[in-house]
Amino acid sequence: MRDAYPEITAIGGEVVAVGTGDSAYAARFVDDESIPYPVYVDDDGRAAAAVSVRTATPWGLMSPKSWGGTRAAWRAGFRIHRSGKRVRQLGGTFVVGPGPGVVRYEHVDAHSADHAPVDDVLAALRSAGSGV
Amino acid sequence: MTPEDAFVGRRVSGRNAGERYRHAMDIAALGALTLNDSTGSTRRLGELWADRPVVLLFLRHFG
Repeated sequence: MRDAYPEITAIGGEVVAVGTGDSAYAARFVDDESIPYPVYVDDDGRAAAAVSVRTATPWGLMSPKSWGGTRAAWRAGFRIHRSGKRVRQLGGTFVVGPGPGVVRYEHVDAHSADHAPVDDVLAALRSAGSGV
Repeated sequence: MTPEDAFVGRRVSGRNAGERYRHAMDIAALGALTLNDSTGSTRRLGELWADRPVVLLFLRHFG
């Protein structure tokens, strides 16, 4: 999503990341990876619960699907510096707003290598501008 | 609107555009949460998408 950030902001959107850990851990991530958008810390898991992200089983984290994603991320230059508090919590991508109660897109990751297609995220953002 | 309707949306993009589905997220609960950012500042999440669309990324890990 970092690579698509210029296009997202050009559409009029913003990216907000939410992860586990603490503020110091998040700050290192922002510095090390030159993250251009705000990063928030969900240390008690309330935000994760509100969006219903899934929890992987231990064997799910070691499945061949996860290996492929890990290899692809490694080759692309991404590195996992330290796992968060809830190592089995999976991710998700959502497009919300503008305004309260507006949900335009949801992708709850099915496994650790599953991520929202960027084109779908951009289409959802564009729908905000078209008044859909 | 019934409480059930409040969580029902219609997909706006992708292969299943137009399909009705139940939201995974409780956006009211999410918007009311206050979290710290990487600088230690606190913000109510709902303020972030008050006047613009936001891509919310839930990360499995930082990095």
